[in-house]
Amino acid sequence: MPLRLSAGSSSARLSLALIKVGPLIVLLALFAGFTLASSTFIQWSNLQNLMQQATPVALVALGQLFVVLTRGIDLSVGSNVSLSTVMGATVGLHVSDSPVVVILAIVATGALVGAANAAVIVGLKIDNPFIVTLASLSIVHGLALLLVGSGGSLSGIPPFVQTLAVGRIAGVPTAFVLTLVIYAIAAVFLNRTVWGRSIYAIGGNPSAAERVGIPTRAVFTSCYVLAGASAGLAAVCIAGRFGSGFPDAGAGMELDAISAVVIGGASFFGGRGTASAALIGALIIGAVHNGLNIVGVDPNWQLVAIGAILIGALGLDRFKMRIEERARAVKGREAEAGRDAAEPVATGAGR
Amino acid sequence: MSGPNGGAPPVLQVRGALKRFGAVQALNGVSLELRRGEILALLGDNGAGKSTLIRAITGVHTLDEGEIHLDGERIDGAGTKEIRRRGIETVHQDLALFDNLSAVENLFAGRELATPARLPRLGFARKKAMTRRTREMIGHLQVGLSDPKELIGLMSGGQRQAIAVARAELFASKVVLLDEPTAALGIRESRAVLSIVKSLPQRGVSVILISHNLDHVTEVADRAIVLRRGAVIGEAAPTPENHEALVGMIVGSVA
Repeated sequence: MPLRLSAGSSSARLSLALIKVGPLIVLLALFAGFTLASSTFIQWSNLQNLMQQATPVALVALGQLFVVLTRGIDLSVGSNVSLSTVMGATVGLHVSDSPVVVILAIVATGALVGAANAAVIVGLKIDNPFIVTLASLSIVHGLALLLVGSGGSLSGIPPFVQTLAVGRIAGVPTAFVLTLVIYAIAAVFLNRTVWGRSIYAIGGNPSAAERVGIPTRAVFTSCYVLAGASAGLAAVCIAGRFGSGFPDAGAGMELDAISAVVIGGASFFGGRGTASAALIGALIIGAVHNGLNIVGVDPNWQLVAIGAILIGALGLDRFKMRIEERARAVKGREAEAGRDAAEPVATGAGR
Repeated sequence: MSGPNGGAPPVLQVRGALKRFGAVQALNGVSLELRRGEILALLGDNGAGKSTLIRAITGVHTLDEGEIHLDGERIDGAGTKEIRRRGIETVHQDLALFDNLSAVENLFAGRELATPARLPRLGFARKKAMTRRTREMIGHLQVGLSDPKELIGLMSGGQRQAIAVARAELFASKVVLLDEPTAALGIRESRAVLSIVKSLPQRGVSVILISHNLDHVTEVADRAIVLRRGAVIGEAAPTPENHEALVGMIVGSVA
């Protein structure tokens, strides 16, 4: 059988490839635009700042990616960051001032919240995790407020954690470098391991995943735990930067996390999205925050801008699905037209 | 293709299968035999019990009464996983494919070749080995598939169906159940898929085929049995001469 790429499917591939590099183009355009608008933007000290600010966003975005790949969503990550900083400070004050213990406490808190989300979602077989994680957003934030009491914040984050959060390696923020390493590991996990590929399979077709024997409940659970743990890592950055834990440390971060993942090109229909794209999404958000600030625009416009980019990304996602559907239909038609019409239709003559 | 050896023991046997859902008697004493190397067509109107029977064989439903034997061993009640392990694969009407994954990943989803082999779920996927195997598998599919890494979501209906059948063929050691494999396809792609189905017995598996298209059944099946109201009401060789009689049994104007 001769195998040539048809015009229909090759143009579909071209469009899909263009959509894939879209976020990177947006990021570069933002850099170019802000550089033109203000010479301060591209200065190294500001780029250091940008990386510093983008780090916690990048971490929660990576966690969100795992969940979004399974067609899920985790609205609790912001509250989870807050509670994790508070738990870290509490442990630092009352249990041990060892930075290792405090960091472990922060990350473990995040992972536990994720595990609790998973327990409800998987245990009660809830198809749409929106409400579950909305509930846990409220519960977890409430717990953080209760733990802190009237003081507003808790000190108790050891100095080493602060060094980790704001220190630099060869001029690049340490936390940012570590985050890149974590992203590299996540990319290998998602692309190369059977478990990682199972996450994509579940997102693509959950009932088929079940039927081919993928342990769907365990995979779902792992994704929510990873989302929680990455909220914990973001909490380490924030607690370290401020030297304390406070109940609004992660306020609104769920918005940044979800936006970064979707802007990077992950699909809310599940099964599509990569670690590198989530990182680019997080950098776009970081650039918008930082750039608009530098240019001197009213900070409230940052929220408007991110919302607008998010809508654009959603539209692109929809468009991507349409291209695929069309390519499939074109292929079917071409296959039918491919053979001469003289061929007899199934009449039993072949027997 | 001449009829399979009638003296050999059947590969699959259903005896007196009863299944009731509330007030509905979905299976009312179905008995049938699938001979080794045979393509058996299962005909019947909507609600005749075809899908229930398939689901009982694959372990999705447990029977209220009756038995199912695979190579002489009882399999009813064993559960879907165990039944698949024993060599029965199903191609569902919805195909159970992953649009966001490549042909390779679709073929091996849930049963990836992994390294280290002792960690089939947590290990690394052996992409090269799976791609090689996929290339061998799709080499004989006449649906214009060349690239094992192509996304299933960008394939035509016939190509998707071919991948689903190839997956069943890859993992079934004994029986493949096909539910309406040509229902959504055009003429040319139907023919391509039928030729794949026809070749399955040469690869050592026996086939049960559900189809509403008598021409397609005639083209590939060795034998046809007709279900109505949860029971087998007739059997015939699916030849063009028997079409009318088969249609009569399906709709209930005969017997």
